[in-house]
Amino acid sequence: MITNEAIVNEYKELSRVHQELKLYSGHEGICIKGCLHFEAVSSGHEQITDKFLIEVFVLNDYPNSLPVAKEVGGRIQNSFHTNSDGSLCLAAPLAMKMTFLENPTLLGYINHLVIPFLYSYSYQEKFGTLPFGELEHGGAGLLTYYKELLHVESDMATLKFLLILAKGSFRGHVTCPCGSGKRTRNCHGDQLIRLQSVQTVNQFRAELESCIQVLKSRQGGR
Amino acid sequence: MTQELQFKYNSLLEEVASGLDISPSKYKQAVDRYKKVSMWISAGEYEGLGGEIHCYAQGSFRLGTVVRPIRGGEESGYDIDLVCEFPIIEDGITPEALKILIGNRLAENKEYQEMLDEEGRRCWTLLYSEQDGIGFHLDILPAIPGDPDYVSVEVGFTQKAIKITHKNKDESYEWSQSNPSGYADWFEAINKPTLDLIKALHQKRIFENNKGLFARIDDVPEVLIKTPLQKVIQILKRHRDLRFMNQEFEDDKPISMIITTLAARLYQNEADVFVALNNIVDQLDNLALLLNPEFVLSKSLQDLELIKRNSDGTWIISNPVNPNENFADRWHENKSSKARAFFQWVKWVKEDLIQILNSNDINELSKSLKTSLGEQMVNKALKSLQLRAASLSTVVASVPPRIEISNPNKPWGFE
Repeated sequence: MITNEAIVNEYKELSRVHQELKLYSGHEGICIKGCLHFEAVSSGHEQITDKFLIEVFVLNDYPNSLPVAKEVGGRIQNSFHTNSDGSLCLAAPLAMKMTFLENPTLLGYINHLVIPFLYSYSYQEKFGTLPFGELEHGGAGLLTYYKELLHVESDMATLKFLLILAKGSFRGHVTCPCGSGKRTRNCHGDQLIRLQSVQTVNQFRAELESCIQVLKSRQGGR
Repeated sequence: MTQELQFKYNSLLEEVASGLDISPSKYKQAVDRYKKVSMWISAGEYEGLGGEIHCYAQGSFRLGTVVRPIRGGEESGYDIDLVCEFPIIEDGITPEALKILIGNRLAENKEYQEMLDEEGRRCWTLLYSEQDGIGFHLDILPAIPGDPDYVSVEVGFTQKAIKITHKNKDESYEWSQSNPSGYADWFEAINKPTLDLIKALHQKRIFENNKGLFARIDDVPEVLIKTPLQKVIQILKRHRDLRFMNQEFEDDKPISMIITTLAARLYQNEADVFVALNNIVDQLDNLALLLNPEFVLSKSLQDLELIKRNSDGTWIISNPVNPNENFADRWHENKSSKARAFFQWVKWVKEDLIQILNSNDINELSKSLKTSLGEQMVNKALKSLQLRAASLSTVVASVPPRIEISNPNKPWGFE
């Protein structure tokens, strides 16, 4: 839990960079609203200058739960990457947490999560493709995400890794699920330990379950 | 209604509320004026008086819900209430003697003698005309300590009860119960969570926008920082003043204490003015069922006990710091004309300030807002919004912050 004063200090840092974002209070937490104007560059892609009307909710248990961002100018349609409540799906849950942990302030959240998302959207409007790609919704997207993160090809290896994370049962001396033949501690061990600290066992379990669902329905379809 | 329009409308409402409010420099001037009067009264020689005379602001000036009054259709000077509490027990002095004592003391000062208005029902009034054309009516209320004996109210609030003098139509005087300071404490407790949150930022903004007025940021008084609750009350009061102007039942218009009390009791720390206004007005409108004794309120609304109606047709809106004081004690008179006026007004607020969002754009919306909140005020608000937008867009357009994206994530979504 963070004090309101600390949030206000984070907001001050944020508003020095993004001057049109204003702070509001509500009984469920704090809301930051206004026009987010940026000039964003990313290596290998066109520079984009754009602005969006956004609303960011900072809940009472921030930073344990991440802020929730919405685009409220009516530009981003629900068919794009949004949740049922209209909030933006900035990234897979674990990816969001990892990015935030590297930049653990409201300014970090806006610059490293919200703006890259809006940049993607803007870029697609202009050039018709998403510069950084996208993930399928739900379990299928999670499965893809974990494969890329762990650099493995097979669904089964990915599930095995997720099972370790969901059980909190990392054992360094057993053979690594990725199929390298090495012991886990000499292979994916460090990465697993790091991931373990980012999400709770229950969060991994929920993700594991939606991955299993997807694989089941794929098999059923065959 | 689009989100964007609501966003703009909320900014407009906030701006209108600021326009209705007393400006920081005007506030400081008013405080200087009443402190001088307080010192003049305290410095007087009063026979048999042991102890200090306690002078303090009460009412909207204290609560931070001041609204520029309209007199004769024109924006007019501010009303400020000043309580002068003499440390005398009820048996020690008559209300008439106390009233005259203070009246005489004011008249001893040549400056005040010229400004002194005719005796009021409860107060002496000093009429200040200022060089900038925005004057004050300073109402000075003679008072003595009251009886803090109410049950079911926090002791901290009741200890501040006072008795004020009241002059009847037949020229006789009596004491009447009051507790403006306890009420202010009650109001401040509701307002505090939101105030604490926005305090630091707003203090800084006020300090910077009023260069030279305050020595340090900390010197900017809290009462100049306005929460959505305070702004909603200011807007509601102004809407009432304009909507009842020149109506045949103008005398039945809801009193500020009722508006302030009900709004504060319904405020849920909403973040923006429009959302707070919408929620408050919705609940008040539901209470209109009370006009028909056959209808029954929903349980949750009944339990709130905002407005109660007795089986004999009388109405109760309790003073939150004194359950014995009923703000609606005259609502049943004349076939509940005051109650009808109140609920009619709530409907007007809904039409004029909430449903207005069905308009197509902010221009259409501000046009109709001028009728209900005052042309001058809305024009002023629009102008300062435009100025701010212009200054922001020039600043921001020339240099939007440059963000380097590295290790971007891929957008995802729940199913």
